[in-house]
Amino acid sequence: MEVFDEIQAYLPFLIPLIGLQVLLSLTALIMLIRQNQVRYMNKLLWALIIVLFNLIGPILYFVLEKRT
Amino acid sequence: MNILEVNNLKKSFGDKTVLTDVSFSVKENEIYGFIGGNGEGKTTTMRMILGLLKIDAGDVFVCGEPVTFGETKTNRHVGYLPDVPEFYPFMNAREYLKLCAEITNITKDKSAARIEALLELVGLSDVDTKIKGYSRGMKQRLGVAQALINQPKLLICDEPTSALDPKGRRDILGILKSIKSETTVIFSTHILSDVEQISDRVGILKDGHIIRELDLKTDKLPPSGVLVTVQESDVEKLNTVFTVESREGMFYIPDIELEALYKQLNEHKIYPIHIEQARPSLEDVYLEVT
Amino acid sequence: MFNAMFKKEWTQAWKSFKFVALLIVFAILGIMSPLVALLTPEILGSVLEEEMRGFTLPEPTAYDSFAQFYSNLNQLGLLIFIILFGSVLTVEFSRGTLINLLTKGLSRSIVIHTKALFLLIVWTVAYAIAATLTYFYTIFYWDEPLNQLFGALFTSWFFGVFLISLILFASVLFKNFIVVLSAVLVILFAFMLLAIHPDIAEWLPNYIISHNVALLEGSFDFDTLYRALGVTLVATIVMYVLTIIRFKKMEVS
Repeated sequence: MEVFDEIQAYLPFLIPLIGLQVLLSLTALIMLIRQNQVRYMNKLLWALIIVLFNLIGPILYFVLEKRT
Repeated sequence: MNILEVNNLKKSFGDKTVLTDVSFSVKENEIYGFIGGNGEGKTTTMRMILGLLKIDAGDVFVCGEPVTFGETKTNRHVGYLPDVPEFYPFMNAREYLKLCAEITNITKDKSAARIEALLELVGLSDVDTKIKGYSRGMKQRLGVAQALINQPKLLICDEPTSALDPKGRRDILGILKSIKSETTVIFSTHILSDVEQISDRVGILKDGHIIRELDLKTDKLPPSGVLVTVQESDVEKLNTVFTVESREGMFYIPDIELEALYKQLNEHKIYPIHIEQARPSLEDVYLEVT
Repeated sequence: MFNAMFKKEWTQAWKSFKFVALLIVFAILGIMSPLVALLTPEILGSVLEEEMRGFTLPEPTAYDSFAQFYSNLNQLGLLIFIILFGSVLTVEFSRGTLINLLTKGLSRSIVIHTKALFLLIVWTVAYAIAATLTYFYTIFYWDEPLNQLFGALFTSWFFGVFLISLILFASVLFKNFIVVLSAVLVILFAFMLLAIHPDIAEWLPNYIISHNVALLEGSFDFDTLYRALGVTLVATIVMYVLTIIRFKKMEVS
C-alpha cells in the first residue's frame, strides 16, 4: 500500500515522461521499419538499440540514419 | 556574339597544376563538345566558369560579363548540370523544381507551367516518388530539368552521359539536341561518339590546355576502322589478309572503309558473323593531333 | 529566395522527425529535472541507510530542481542539439546539394541567414519547452523565491545562440561535421581550462552559464555577468559576419 502511494505521488511526472518516451521510441521504430535499408548495422540491432537505450537510442537512430 | 569566352585560364590545387592555359570560346546556339580524359580538368574548368572555384589567372566572360569567384552575377545566364547532380532526397521532382524556380525568382504563375514543360521534356511527368528512390538515369534527367529552369542562355553539362546505359545516354543526348534552338550547350565527355552525334564544335583538353579545336562541319574525326567477328576457322585467314588487333573481344581492322572490307572478305571467302563501324577512341584522337 | 530556402529547411526537419525528436527530448529533460531533485534524497537515503542512521537529509528545494535543469540543459541538452542539428550546413557541403542552387544565383549570405534563423528557432523553441516545464513543476512542488528568473533563463539560452554562431563559423572553415564537432568541443574545453584563472574567467562566454543557480538564489548579481555577456555577444556577431565573408569566397565542389 505504501509503495503504491509513493508511486502515485510521482504520477504527475511519470505519466508525461513515459508518454514522451514511448512516443519517441515508437516513432523511431516506425521510421526504422518503413526505411528500405539502413546505413549502419541491421534493422534488428537498431530496433534493440532504440528500445534498450531509451533516450540515446532513438537520438542515435535519427542522427545516423536520417541524415538527409 | 560569343556566349562564353575563356581566356588563358590557370588553376592549381596545392602544388598540382591542373590547367596551364585554357582558352576557348563558344558562339550562340552552338553545341560545344569539351573532350578530355579523366583528371584533365574538364570539371575544374566548368566550375571556374560558374564561379565555384577560384580563378588563379586568366578570365572568363559569360554573355560579355566577367565571372567573379564566389557569388557571380553571370550565373543568372547559366544552367549547370553537374557530373553527379545531387538533390534533396526527401522531395519529389516537382517540389525540387519548385524550389529552384523560387530561387531564380520566376513568378509563381509562370513557374507551374515551366515546371510541367520541363518534366515533360525530360520524361518525368508521371513520376511522383521521392528523389531518394531515383535511378542514376532519372537523376540525370531531373538534373537537366533543374539546369534549364531559368531558361539559361548557356547550359553547361559535365559528363552528362558517362554514367548512363545506352538508352539513358540516347535520351540525354536527344534532350540536349532538342533544346539547341533556345540555348547554347557546352558539354564535357570522354566518349567521342556522343560528341560526334550532337556537337558543332569540339575542343580537346589535354595537359592543361586545349590542344586542338575541331569544327565538325568541316573537320572530320580521325578515320575509324571496323570491328568484325568471324568463325573460329576463319581467324587465321583474317589475320593473313588484314592487319588486325583484338579489341573488345572482336577483331579491329583500322583505316578501312566498309565497301573495301566487304570486297576483301568476299575475295578470300571469309564469312563474318558480325561487323560494326568502330568509333575512334579518345586515344586515337590524341594520337592524331599530337 | 529566403522563403524558399527557409521552407526547405523546415520540411527537411519535419520529414526526418529530428525537430519533433529534439522537442520530445527537451520536454523529457524539463520534466526529469524536478523529478530527480525530488528523488535524490530518497535514493541517497535508501542507499546509505546504514551509515545515515540518526541523520536526516536536507529536504530538496526549488534550487535543487533548477540545478538539475541547468546541468541537464547546459551539457546533455546542448550536446543533443548540436548532434542533431549542428550538421545543417556541413551536410550540404558533403552531399554537394548546394551546387545546383548556387549556380542558379542563390545568394550565399541567404544560405547562412536561413540556416542561422532555422537553428535559432529550433533552439529557442526546445529551450522554452524545457524551461517552462521545469518552471511549472518547480513552483507547484516548492515555494522558494526564484530571483532574477528571466536573467537566469536568458544566459543558458544565449550561450546556445553563441554556440550556433560558432558551429556555423566552424562549418565554413572545416566543411566536415566531425571536424566541426571536435573543434567546438576543443573550444569549450579550452574555455574550461582558461576559467581556472579567476581574472580570465569572468571574460569568458561559459562564465554566463556557471552561476545560474546562484542567480536564482539571489546570492549572485546578474550585473556581475556584464563582461562575459558583452564578450559573448561580440563573439557571436563577429563569428557570424566572418561566416558570411568566408562563405562568399569559399570553393564549393
